[in-house]
Amino acid sequence: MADKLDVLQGTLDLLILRTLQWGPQHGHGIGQVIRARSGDRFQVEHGSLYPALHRLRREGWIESEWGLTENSQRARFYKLTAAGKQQLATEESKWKLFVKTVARVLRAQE
Amino acid sequence: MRRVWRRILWWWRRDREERELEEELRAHIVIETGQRMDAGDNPEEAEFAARRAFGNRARIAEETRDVWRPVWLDQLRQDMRYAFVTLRRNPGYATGAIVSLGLGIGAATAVFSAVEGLVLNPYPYSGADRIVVMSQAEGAGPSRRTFLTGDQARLFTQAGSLDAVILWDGSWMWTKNEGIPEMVYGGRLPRNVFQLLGVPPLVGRTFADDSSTSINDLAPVAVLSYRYWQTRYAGAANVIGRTVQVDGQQYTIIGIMPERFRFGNVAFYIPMPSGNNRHWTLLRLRPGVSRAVATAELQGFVQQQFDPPEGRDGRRDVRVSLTTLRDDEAGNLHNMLGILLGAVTLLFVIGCANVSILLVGRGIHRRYELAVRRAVGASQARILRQLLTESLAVSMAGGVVGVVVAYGLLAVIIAWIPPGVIPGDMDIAIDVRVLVFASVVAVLAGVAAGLSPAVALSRSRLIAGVGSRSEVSTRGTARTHRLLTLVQCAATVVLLAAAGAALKTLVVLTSAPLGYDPQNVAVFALTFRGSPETQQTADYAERIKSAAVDVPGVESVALTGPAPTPPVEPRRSAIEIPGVSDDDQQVVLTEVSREYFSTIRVPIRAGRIWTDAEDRSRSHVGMINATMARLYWPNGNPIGQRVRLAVLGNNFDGSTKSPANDQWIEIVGVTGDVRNDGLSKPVLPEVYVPYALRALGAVLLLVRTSGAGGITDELKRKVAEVNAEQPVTATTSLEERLWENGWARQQFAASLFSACAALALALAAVGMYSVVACAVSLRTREFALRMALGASNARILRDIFTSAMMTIALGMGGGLALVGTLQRPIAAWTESSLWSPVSLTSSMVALAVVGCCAVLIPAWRAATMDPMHILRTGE
Repeated sequence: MADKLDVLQGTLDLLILRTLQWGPQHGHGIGQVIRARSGDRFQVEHGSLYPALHRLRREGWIESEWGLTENSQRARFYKLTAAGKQQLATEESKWKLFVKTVARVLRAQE
Repeated sequence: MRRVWRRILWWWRRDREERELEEELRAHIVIETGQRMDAGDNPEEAEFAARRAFGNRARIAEETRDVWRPVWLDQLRQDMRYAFVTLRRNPGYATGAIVSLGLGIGAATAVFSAVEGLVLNPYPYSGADRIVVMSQAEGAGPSRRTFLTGDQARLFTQAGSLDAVILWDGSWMWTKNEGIPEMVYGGRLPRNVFQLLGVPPLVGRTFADDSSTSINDLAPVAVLSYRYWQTRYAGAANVIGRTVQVDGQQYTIIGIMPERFRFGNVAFYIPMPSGNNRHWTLLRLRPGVSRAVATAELQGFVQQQFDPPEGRDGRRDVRVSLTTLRDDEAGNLHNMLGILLGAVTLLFVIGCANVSILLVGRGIHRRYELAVRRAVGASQARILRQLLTESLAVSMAGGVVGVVVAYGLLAVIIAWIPPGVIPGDMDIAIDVRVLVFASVVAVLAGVAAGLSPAVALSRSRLIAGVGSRSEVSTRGTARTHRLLTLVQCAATVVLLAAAGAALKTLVVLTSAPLGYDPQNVAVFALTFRGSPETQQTADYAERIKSAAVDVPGVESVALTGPAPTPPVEPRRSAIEIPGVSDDDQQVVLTEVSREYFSTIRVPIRAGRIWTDAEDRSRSHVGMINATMARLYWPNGNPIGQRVRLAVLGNNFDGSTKSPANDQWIEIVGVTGDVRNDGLSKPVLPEVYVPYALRALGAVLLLVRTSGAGGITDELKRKVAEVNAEQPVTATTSLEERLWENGWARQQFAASLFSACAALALALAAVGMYSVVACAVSLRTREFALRMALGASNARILRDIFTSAMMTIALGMGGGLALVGTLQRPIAAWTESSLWSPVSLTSSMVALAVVGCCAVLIPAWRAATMDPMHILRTGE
C-alpha cells in the first residue's frame, strides 16, 4: 500500500471543486471520491473537509441543498455554482502552472 | 459585497444553520455506518467505527462554524470579558463612574423632558404657540385682561394679524344628575371653538359638527371632558345620548373629549348663548405674525374700531399687551424650569467630569500593563480597541442607569408638581430624543477619557513605561485632574447657591404675615339660584349660615364673596374719596358677613365692625384695611368718612340690585392688612362691605372648625334641611388654597434645587476623593521614601491636604465668579437672587466640609502606611 499523503494546504478547495464537477455530492461522498481518485493516498480529514465546504459556500462557489442518498438517507448535497466553475478553471490553471514551475525549479537544481 | 451579504444571512439564520450543520455531520456518520455494514460489520461495531473514524464531532462543528463567524466578533467577546473582569476587580471605580454617568444622564433627561412638556409643547391645540391673552391698560391704570362680547369678537376677527378669536365662559353651574344636586365648574363655548382648537372628540361629536341648528340657536347638547367622564360616569361607554340637567335645563351628551384636551379646566362644555355678555377671550395670531406686530396692530385697532372706555377726563389712552397662553397659565413656572435646566446641565457636567477623572486616573495605573502588552506584540489598534470596549462598557452601563433614573425622576417630578401649578393640558413624558442625546454625550465623554491612556502610551517611549512602574510622567494627568476638580467645585457652588436662593424664597414666602389665620378653616362654595332681590338672597344666606353654625365641631361661620388671598387678580372697584383729587383710584372690594373678621381672625385696628342691626337695615357702612387708612388718611381719622364705590351702583352679573343705592359708604372701622394680591406682592387698599348690602349669587362659606374635621356630611345635611335643592360644594381649605396659590410652587422649586445641589455635592465629593486617591497612589513610593528618611505623618498629610484644598478653593473662587456673572440674567427671570451672603457662605462651608472629608480619607491612608513595606514590595 502506498504511503499516505497530507493534502497540501490550499489544494483541498481545488480537489473539492473538481470532485463536484461530475455532479452534486454530499460531504461523505466527496471525501470518498477524493480518496479513491488519489489511490488511497489522500486521507481527507473531516476536520478540514467540513470547514472547507462551508468556506467555499461562504465564497459563493458552491451551494447546498438537502437530498436523499441511494440508501434513502437524508444528506446535504453540494453542487458547483457558475462562479464555482469559473473558480475551478482559474484554480486548475494556477495549479498546473504551480506544478510546472516547481518541477522546473527542481530540475534546475539537479 | 456578496460575501458580506452571505455572512449576514448566515448570522441571521444561524439557529437554522446550526441545526443543519448538526444534521449534516450526523448524516455523514450514518452513511459511513451503512457502508461498513454493507462490508459485513455488525451494526453496533459499524457505528462505533464510523464515529471513531469521523473524529471529534463537536470540534469539527466548531471549526466549521468559525468559517462563518467574523474574527472581530470573537475579539469583541474577548475584550468584553476582559473589561468585565477588570471592572469586577475595581468595583469602586466602576460604581463611581456608572453612578455618576447615570445620575447625570437621568437628571438632565428628566428635567429636559419636563421643560419640553411645560415650555416647548404644552398644549394639544392647533397653533397653540400662537394663542395669546390680551390685556389692556387705561392711562396709568393697571393692565387688565380683555374680555370681549360676541359682537366685539366679530370685529376683532377683521384684524389682519389675527387668525381666530376664541371666546369661552367658565362658571360654577348647578347640575342635577340622577336627583343629586351638585355644583360643577362647567364651560360655555361658541360652536366654532372646537373647530378652532382643532382637537377631535374621543367619542361622539362636538357642537362644531352640529349643523342641524343655526348659529344663534344651538341645541341643548353637552360635550364632557375626559376627567368628568371618568369621575362622574366612571368612564361608562353608554353616556352618549344621556341627559344632564344644568341650571334647570336638560342637555344631551353628544361627545367626550380626549384626555389631553382640558380647555378651561372645566367638567363639560355646553353651547354659549348669544348675548351681550363679555367672555374670557383668547386670540390666535396668524402664522408668521410676531407678538410685537400684532400688539401694534391691535393697539390701533382698539383705538379706532372699538371705542375704548372713556376715562373720566375723556382720555382714551389704551395700552394693549399680549401674553402667550403658556405664560398666562403657567406663570413663571417655566422660568423656574429654565433655571433648573441650567442646574441639571451643571449636574451633568459634574457627572461627566467624574467619569473623566475616574477613567484618566485608571489610565495611569494601566500604563504599565499596556506598555507590557504593547511590548509583547499587541498592536496599537488592538489596545485602542480594548480600551474603547472598556470605556463603552462603563458608559453604556451608565446609560442604562441613566434611563432608569430619568423615568424614576420624572415620575417624582410629576408627583411633586403641586396641583394647580400647571395647567391641566400640559402633558409630561420622557423625550426619547433628549435621552438619546444625553446618553451619546455621556458615552463620548467616557470614551474620550478612556482612550487617554492609549494616547499617552503612543506618545511615551515604550521602554520607559515597562521599565519603571511609577516613574511615568504624571504631570499631564495632575493638570487634567486639577482642571476637572476646579470645574466641579465651581459648578457645585453655583448649584448650592441656587438651592439656597430657592430655600430662602420659600422661607420668606411661607413666613410672610398673611394678616389672618388660615388653619382649620374649611371652605364651601354655594350658588343661590334665582332670588331677584338682595334682601331675599341675604336672608336666605343668613339661614344657611345659621344652619351651618349648628353643626358640631364648627366654631364660627362667615360668608364672603372672594376668598382671602385670591389666586387671580383681586376684584377691584373704582372709588371716589372726598378730598382726594386723583380720579383713577381703585380699591379691592370684598363683600363679607360680620363674622368674617372673627372667623379668620383678622384684627380690628380702629373703630368697630358693623352691627347686626345695621346689617338688617342694610345701612351703607363698611370697613377699610390699614393700608387704605394709611394711604388716604395718613394723618386723619378715617372713621366716619364716606367713600363712594362705583360698583355698588352697577348691576353686574351675579349680584342683585339694591334699591335706593346712593353708592356712598360710611367707614365704621379699620382692619388689619390681609394679603389680597398674591402672597408676595404688597397689600392693596381694600374695602369690606356687608354681604347684606351686595348679596352675590355665588359665595363662599368659611367655616372655622375645632380641627377634628369630618364636618362636611353633617353640614350638607343641615343645609338640606333648609333647602333640599341647595348644592354645597366642599372645596379646598384656606390653608390648602395658600399652598395651591404659591407656597406649593415655591416648595417644589426649593425641593428640586436642593435635590440638584445635594447630588452635585455628592458627585463632586466622589470626584475630589478620586483625584486625591489617584495622586496619592501615584506618589506612594515618594511618600514612603520621605517617611523613611524622617518625614512625619503630619507632614505628608499636610502636603496632600493643602495641595488638594488649594484646588478646591480655586474652584470655589471660580464658582463665586460664575454666580456673580449669572446673577443678573437669573434675576431677570425670577425674584429670587443667587447673590445672598447667607446662602453663599453656607454653600462655601458645605463644599469645604465635604471637600475636606473627601480629601482626608485618601490622604490619611497615605500618611499612615508602612513605608518599609512599600519600599520593599513596591506596592
